[in-house]
Amino acid sequence: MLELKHVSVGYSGHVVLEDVSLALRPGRVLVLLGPNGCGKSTLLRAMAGLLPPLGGEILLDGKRERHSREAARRLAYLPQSRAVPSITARRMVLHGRFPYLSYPRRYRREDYEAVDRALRLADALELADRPLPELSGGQRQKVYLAMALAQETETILMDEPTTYLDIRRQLETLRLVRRLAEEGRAVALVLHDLCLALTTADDVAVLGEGKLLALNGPEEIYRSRVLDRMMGVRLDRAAGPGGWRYFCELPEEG
Amino acid sequence: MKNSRTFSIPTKYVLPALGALAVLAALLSLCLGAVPLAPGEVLAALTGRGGGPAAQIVLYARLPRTCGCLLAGAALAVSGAVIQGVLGNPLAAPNVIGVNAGAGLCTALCAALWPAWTAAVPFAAFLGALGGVLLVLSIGARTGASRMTLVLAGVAVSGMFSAGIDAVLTFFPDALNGYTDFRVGGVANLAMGRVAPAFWVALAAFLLVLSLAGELDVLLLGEETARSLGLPARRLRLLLLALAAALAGAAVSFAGLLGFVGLIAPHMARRLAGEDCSARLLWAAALGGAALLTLCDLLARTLFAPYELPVGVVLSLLGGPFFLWLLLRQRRGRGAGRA
Repeated sequence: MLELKHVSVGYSGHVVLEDVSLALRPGRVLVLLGPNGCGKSTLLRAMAGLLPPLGGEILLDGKRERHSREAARRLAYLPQSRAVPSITARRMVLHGRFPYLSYPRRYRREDYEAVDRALRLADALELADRPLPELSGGQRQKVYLAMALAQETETILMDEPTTYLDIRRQLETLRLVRRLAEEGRAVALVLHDLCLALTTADDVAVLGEGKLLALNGPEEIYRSRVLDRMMGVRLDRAAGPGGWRYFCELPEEG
Repeated sequence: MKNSRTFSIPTKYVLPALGALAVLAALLSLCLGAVPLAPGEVLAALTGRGGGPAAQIVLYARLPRTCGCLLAGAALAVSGAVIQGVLGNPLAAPNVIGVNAGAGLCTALCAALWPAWTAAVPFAAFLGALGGVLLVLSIGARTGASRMTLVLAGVAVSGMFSAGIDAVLTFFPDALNGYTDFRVGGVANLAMGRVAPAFWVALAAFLLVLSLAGELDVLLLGEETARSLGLPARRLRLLLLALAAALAGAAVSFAGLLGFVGLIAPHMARRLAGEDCSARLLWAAALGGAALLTLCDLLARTLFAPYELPVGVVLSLLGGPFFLWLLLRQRRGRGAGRA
């Protein structure tokens, strides 16, 4: 389990977010929301162990030690911007198994099996033998997702996993996220789309004004109107066939 | 590096084919020259059964020269492949980012101050190469770390080191007497005694690089992803650059400032062997680089026989246009390759 205790994050001494305390629990999806530049991605990078916190503690299963292959077997991180090396999709996903290998690296049969499972789960099996630079943005996204899945971790962090995807792929990706949580994993996402966020999340963390403004279920977050204030929109909802459907409008003038 | 595989030999044949090419180049290099020798004579000389002038030519002129070409070509090509991969910069190569010039300066200093210590030259060259790459990297990092600034910093630092070499030669005009054509790179009049220490340095570095091929694969995914997979990316990048410096330094220590092998050979290896697997790419670069330099040297000494060009001249004639072509393609494709 990943726990944040009074964490401050930022770059080179400049604090972006202060005193954030939250925890990722198995079986639950946490979505980080907030306006551009509020520090969502920075916080996620700190959670992934890529950025040392400026204050407070980030504990993975009670331990502070990160930067190790051991930690990479517990937590996977899907970054927002990704390199596109000239390799096949299967090879790319195979690198997700890297934390399980010892020096010198030799991939084993179980690694190839894990790759096939991950490709199937991410609906990317038919892309397996194609070179990454030939794939569309959405297809690459699926391959990256498969790579994070091949890592077979209890905790998965994703920074905007739905960018570059058309609406159907977005919904499919979020359904996959729900499924990962139902399998008992802890998932944290940064999303831009409030409406998708509120229908996907078990817990919503609203970030803004340099701090964690609210941490609650989607229902409470909606009622508290904190999102309206932070995002500068009027958030509304209507009953759909599968539950509440949210939508945003510009607030009326004056 | 889009559409990099335009011609496709099935990948499993690439390494044997390149290996065969390197062997063929070596045989040609032993047979051809100012005095053409039959393969039988060469074989006899190599196995110690021959005698007379033919054996003299093979053992004391052509064999050291051929070994030198194979070694320098392979070492510089692997060094270039590692540098390009680690920096994510297809324009980078040992001669572009100050590695060769740094190695050259230390070689010249070592030869000037301790002329008797020939076995120490590869190590001095390694230190110079490492100093060169670290200097260029730190300048590059301070000025924005884009692909172009790195290359520009390399050009500036190489220029300064070259001036250093000239200064050393002004005070010690005989320092590099053992080398022909040190400034452009050449392998004429090479003795086995100078190739051997460099061979051991290069072999050790190559084996270490090969053992880190899996890490190099992951490093190519970008620093963020590599670190999230538990790879100590920064430390590893430095280690790999140090090994690349050792390889280039070993080559420079006996062959001088050979340019462009370290740029061209890795690009050819990429086209032929693909980039899926760094271990295969490194082998392809080594074999291809060895074959390329040996064939260029063969051209250099047979084209205008009995006159000889330094091999570095032939390489620069081929390599200069290739580098410009890469540069132009880079500018057009700027921003591509990242999403």
